[in-house]
Amino acid sequence: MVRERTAVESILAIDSGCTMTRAFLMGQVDGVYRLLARSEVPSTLESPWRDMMAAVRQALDRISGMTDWRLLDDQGRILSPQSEWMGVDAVVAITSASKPLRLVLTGVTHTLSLASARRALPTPYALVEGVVSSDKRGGTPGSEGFEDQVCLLQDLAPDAIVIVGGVDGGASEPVLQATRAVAWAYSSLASLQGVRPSVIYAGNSELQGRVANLLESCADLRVVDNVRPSVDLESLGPLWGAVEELHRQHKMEQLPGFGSLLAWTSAPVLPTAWAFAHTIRYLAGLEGTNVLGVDIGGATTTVATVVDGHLDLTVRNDLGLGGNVARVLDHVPIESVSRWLPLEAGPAEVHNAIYNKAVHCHSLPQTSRDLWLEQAVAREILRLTLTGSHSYWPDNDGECPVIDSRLDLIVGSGGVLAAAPNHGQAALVLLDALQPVGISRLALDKAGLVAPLGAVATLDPQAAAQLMERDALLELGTVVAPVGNAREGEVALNVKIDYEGGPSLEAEVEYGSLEVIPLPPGQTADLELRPARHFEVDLGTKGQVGRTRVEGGSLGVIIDARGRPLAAAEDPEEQREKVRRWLWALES
Amino acid sequence: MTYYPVATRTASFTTIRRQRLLPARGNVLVRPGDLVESADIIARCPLPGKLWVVDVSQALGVHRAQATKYIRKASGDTLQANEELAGFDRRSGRKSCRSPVAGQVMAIRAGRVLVETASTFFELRAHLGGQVVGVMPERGVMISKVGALIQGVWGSGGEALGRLKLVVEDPQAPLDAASLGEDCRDSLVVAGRILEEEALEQAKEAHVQGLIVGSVSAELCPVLQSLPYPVLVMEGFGPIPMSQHAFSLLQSCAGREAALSAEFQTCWRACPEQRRRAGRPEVLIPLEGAGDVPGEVPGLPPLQVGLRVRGLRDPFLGAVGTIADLPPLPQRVESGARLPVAEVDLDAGESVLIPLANLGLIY
Repeated sequence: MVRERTAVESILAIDSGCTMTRAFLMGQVDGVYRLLARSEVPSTLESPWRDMMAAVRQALDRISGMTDWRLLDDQGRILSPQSEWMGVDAVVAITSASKPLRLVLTGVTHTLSLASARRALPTPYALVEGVVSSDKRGGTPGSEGFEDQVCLLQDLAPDAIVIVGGVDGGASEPVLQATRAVAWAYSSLASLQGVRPSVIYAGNSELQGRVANLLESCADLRVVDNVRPSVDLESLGPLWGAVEELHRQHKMEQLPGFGSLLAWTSAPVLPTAWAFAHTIRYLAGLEGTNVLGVDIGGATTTVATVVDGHLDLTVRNDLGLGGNVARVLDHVPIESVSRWLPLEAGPAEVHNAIYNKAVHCHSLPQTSRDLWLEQAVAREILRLTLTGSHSYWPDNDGECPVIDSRLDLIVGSGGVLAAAPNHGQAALVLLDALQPVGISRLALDKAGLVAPLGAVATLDPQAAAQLMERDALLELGTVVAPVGNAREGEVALNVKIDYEGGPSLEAEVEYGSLEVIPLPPGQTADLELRPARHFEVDLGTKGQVGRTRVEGGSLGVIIDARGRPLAAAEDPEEQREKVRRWLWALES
Repeated sequence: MTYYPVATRTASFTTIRRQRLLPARGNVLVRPGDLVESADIIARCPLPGKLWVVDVSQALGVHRAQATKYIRKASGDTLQANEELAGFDRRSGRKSCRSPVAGQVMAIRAGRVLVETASTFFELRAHLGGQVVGVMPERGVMISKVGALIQGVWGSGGEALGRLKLVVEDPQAPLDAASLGEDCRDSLVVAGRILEEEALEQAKEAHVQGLIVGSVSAELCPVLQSLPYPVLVMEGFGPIPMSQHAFSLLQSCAGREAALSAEFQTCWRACPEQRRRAGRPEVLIPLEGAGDVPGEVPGLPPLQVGLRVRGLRDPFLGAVGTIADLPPLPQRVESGARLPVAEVDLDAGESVLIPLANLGLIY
C-alpha cells in the first residue's frame, strides 16, 4: 500500500558558523518529528575554500555516510523533495558567519529619537559604533557639533548611517544639520570613487523631501516611517526592517556561497542569534515561564532573556571561543580567567593557550588542562556578554549583574558546553558564569538544536515543537541557590527531599559549598528548604521555610550555597582548591 | 569518516597564484601577460583627503546669515594653509578667518566652509614578482609565479620584501639581539623563536624588513603589532620550534629575494582595510622553473593514512608525523571527551592518538 505523504516529512537544517558548520536531518518517526542524524565539520569560509557550501556538502556527506540516506546528487546539489531514502522535503538554514552592520546613529535627543532608534536596531544585525546627537553639546544648531559629526563619519567609515530625529511636524534644523554632515562627509568620496554610503532616514516625515535632496547625489537613501512620530508614540518596525534588509544585502549575501545556500532553502536564512532567541521565546511561552538562554559560539555569544513575556537579546559579535577568543583579554585580565582553573597555570601559559586556540579555532582540548582553560574562558565570555545586556538584572557597578530569582529555566548552548566530557562541567560553567539565585531548572542544548529549531519553526511550527519536546534539551536538573552571607562552613540551608513514592533524604548544606542530591530525569520530588536565619531562597522572607516541587535531571538537584556574587579566594592555591571541590561535587 | 582538516602549505616548488587588489576603484597599470617585479607598482587609486569644517561665523564673530558675504573663496577653489578664507576690516583692525590646512573648498553653507586636503594616491605593488595572468578592471590583478611557499599561523600585519637571512643554526634557537647587525639591513630575518623585546628593538635598529619565526610568547603580540616591520609566526605561541621542514626550506633559500605577508585573517582586526586584505600569513620565494613547471595546487584531500600532519594543540602542538591509522570510532582522550582521532607516527619516534580536529595537513 502506498502511504500518502504529508507535505513535509523530512527537514534538513543547516547551521553555518564562522568556525563550525552543522547539519541536522529531521524526519517523522511514528508520525512525530525526530532528530535522525547530525554532523559537524569545520567551516570553509576562509582560504583555501572560501565557500561556505564546501562545508555544507561535507556535513551532508557525513550524514549520508552514517545513515545511508542520500542527500546530494552527483553534482553536489540537494535532492528535494524526499523520495524513499533519498533527499529531503525542505531545507532551512541559519548563519552566524556574517558580521553585523557597522552603524552611526544621528539624532536629536538621546531620550527620545535616539532611544527609540536604539530599540529599533535588531541586535544580530547592527553594531552602533558612533552616536551623534544635538543635545550632546547643548543642542543649538550650528554648534561645533557639526564639525564633529563630519569628522566622525569620515573617520569611522560606517557601513550605514541612520538619521532619526524630530517628531512629525517638529524639530527640523537639527535633523537637517545631521543630514548635511552626512552629505559633506561623503560628497568627496562619492565623486572620487563612486562610493555611496547607505543611509536610512527615519525621522520627521515632513523633512523626507529635503533630506532626499541633500543626499541624492552622494548616498543610497532609504526613507522609512519616523521611528518617533510623536512624543508618545514609537514606530520601530519600519526601521528594524530597513536595517535587516541592509544587513542581508551587505553582509549575508556577501558570504561566499550564500547564494547557493539560499537557493536550497525553503525559508529565508536567519541570523543564528535571532533563531536562538525565537526558540527561547517559544520555550517561555510554552509554560508561561521566564527563560534565559545563552549560546557561546565560535565568533559570537548570545544571551536571550524572556521575562514576563518580553524578549531581550544581546549579541556580542566580538566574543566567542573560536578565532576571536583572544579578544576576551581586551576586557578582562589573565587573572580573571586563571581564577576558574583547578590547577596552577602561569600567566604566560594561559596567554599562549588562548592565542593558540585563536589561531587554531577548530581545535578541541585534548588535555584536561586545556579543557579547563577553555571552560574558564567560556565563563568570562558569558559574564562579559551578560554585563553588556539590556536586561532586567540590576546594575552591579559594572560587575556582572546578579541574576535575580525570576528565572524558571536556564538553557546553555554552544560547543564548549555540549562537548563537555560530563554534564557536571557544563553545569558548573553555567553556574559560575551566570550565578543564578533562587530556584531554576538547568538544561543543556546537547545537540546544538535550539538555534536551528528557530528556523524550522518558520517553516513548520509543529515540527519544531515536537523536536523541542523530544530531542533538543537535556535536563540537567534544578539548581537551588540561596542568597545570604555567612562564614564558610556554617550551615546555610537544610534540605529535605521527598521522592515520589519513595524515601526522603535530608541534608545540611554549608555556606561556600555545592551539593548534589540525586533526582533522575523525568522524576519530580517535593523539596523542603529551611534556610538559615540570614538566607532566603525566594520562597518567602529570610529564614522562612518553604516547599516547592522540583524536576530531576542528569545531575539532580544542585544546591549552590557558594554565595552571590561568587567571591574568589585571595590566595590562589585556596581558590584552586575551591574549584577542585566544586568540580568534584558536580562531576561525581 | 571523511574529514577535511585545516592545512598549512609548505611547498618547495609550486605554482603560486596571488590576487592583488586595490582598496578602492582605481587604475590597473598592467595587462595580462606582463612580467612584473615584486616592487613594481601595478595599480593605483585615489584616496580622499581629510575633511576640515571651518566655522567662519564663529571665527569672525558674526551671525551665520551674515558670514557668507565675508567668505572670499568659492566652492572648488584651492587654498594654502593659513590662507585667509574670510575676513573684514574693522576700526580696530582686520578680522580674519584662515584655513588650517592646504586643500580645496568643497562646500560653503550657513557660515561654514568644508575644506578637503589633497587626495592621496594608494600605490599597489606586485609583492610577488611573476606574470600577470588576470586583470580585474579598476580593482587589481592575479599574478602567477613558480617558487617556494611557506604558510604561517599568525602575522602582525603588513607586507615586506627582502632577502632571506637566517641568524640561527637550528629551528629552536631564539632571536638574539647580538646577531642583528648591519648585515641584516633590508633582510627578512629568520629565527626559531622570539623570547624578548630587546631583540625586537635591535631588529628595528638594524633596519630589517621583517621577521620570520617559529613561535613567540603571546604576551609580546601587542608589541609585535606596533613594530615598523611585519612579523610572521609559523607555529604558534609558546616554546614551539619552527618545523624542521620549513626551517630547512628557508635555509635552502637563504640569500634569495622573498615576499613576506604578515596579514592575518579577520577576527582580531577592527579596521575594514585589514579585513579586506586578510588571509594566511606566508612567505613567497620566487624561483626559476627547471624543467616542467609544476601544475596548480590540487584541492585539499581528506585525511587518510600516509598523509603528513602537524599537531595543533597540546600535548602535541608543533609535533609532525604521518597518519598511521584512522580508527572508525571516537576514542576517549585525556580530557575525558570522546573524539574522532587519528593514530599518528611522530617524527620524534612515538605513536600517539590525536583528535582529528587537532591535526593540520602539511602539503
